[in-house]
Amino acid sequence: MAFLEFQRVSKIYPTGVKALDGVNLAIERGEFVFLWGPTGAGKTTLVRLVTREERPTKGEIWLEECRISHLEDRYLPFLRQNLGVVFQDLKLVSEWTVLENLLSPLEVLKVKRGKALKVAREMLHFLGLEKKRSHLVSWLSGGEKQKLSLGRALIHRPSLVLADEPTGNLDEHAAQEMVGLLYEFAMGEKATVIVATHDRTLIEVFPARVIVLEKGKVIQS
Amino acid sequence: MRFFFRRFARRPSFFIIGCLSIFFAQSILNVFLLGYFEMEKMKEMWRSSFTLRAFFKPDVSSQVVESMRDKIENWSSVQEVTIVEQEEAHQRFLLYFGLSEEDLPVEENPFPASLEILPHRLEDLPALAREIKKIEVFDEVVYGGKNTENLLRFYHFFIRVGSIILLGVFIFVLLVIVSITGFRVRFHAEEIQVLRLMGATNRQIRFSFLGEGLIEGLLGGMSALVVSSLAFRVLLDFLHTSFPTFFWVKLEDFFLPLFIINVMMSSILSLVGTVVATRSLLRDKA
Repeated sequence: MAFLEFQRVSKIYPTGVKALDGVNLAIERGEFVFLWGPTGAGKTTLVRLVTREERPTKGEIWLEECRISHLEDRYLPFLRQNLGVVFQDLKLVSEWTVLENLLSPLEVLKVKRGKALKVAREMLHFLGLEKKRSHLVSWLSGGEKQKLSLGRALIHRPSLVLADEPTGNLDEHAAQEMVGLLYEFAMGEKATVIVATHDRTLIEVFPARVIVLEKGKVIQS
Repeated sequence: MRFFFRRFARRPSFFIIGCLSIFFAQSILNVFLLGYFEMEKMKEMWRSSFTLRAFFKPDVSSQVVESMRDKIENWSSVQEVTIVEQEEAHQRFLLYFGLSEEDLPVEENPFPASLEILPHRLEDLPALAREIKKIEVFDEVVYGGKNTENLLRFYHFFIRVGSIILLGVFIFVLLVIVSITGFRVRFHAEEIQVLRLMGATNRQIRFSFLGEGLIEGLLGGMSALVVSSLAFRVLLDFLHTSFPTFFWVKLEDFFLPLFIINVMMSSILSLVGTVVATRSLLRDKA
């Protein structure tokens, strides 16, 4: 069994919208994958199914031989603690500082304060946000917020990173810098990374497997 | 705890309202406690002042008097029984009125023997008197009577009314705390959602609010303790000076129970309030 597997997964929302239609997908450990497709192709739904913000209407999803599509709610924290997610809407806590947002996954994992701060300093350096550590999120630019969201997804060194349109609001240069950071992390940590994007140029710049989604179906894998 | 400091630094208003509600409830409880301890003090003084006196019929022998003393002394509500012989009663009478033997010779001693009975609790006096009256060898039973009964009636009234008021205040404060915590949880919905997506368990999220509630409760409770103690000191100093013959309670006599009750009640109030609020708001959210 692959590291992450989708087996005939369909998702129909209560409104009747069919977001995914019988998706079969296998991603191996350590792979860097672009999930490419136009708006409304089902990329975000696919990511939300892995984070278990949604349940599939049909089919099964397996992660490391664990059937996460049928996981009981009480086990969700343990699934999510092992994921790193860059959300499309970033989901940063606007009332917290950069450092506080960055530390939140480590606090959830109850990492000791001293160690957490050391890791956070390294991550701030990696992201180039050292000077902004005490800034509130609301004071950051769009690109800085994206970087912070990326840093938060990577700080606890998860085995699977999901990035949903991580370059959504960025110009070409910043978008490439952002995916570059993610690429560097994936290569260094041997982590599995799935980047959902509609940006073709990224696919051309970074050598990686591309899965094409269209109208809820995988048309190229 | 870090989450609490973050929330407090950014939004202290919820915390301050929570503290003030606990302070308000605890201050009312402290006033009630002052009254309660004062009543206890009065009861204790009255208990030793108003011993029950049971007079024997004139023809009762000293063996019967002693057997009665032994019998009554074994009753659970009785602390001490003393026999007052006819001669002693005579002597006490003479002493009390400053008379001599010539004024009232022993041969004309009209005083019967009696038992002086000290109960464990003042509340037991009326029932004790009724029980003793039923025994045939006794002619008359005397105790504080109406004064004691009035004091007891007032004591029970104070406890009942005070308890009802306190219960009302506590329910009100509990509702305030539940509402404030509810607001707080809803207000931090963004933070809770993010923490959930990071993998925080319900328990972790609830604990951060419980810690906040506990600090809020203890701070409110301790402020009430300090303010109440200062106010009581001033009030009791004034009462001791103005009415020195009355038996006023001293702050030192009840500070420890006051402290313990303040810590316990404020913690319980805030924790119960927070648990109720977070249980309903965090339930069924994955």
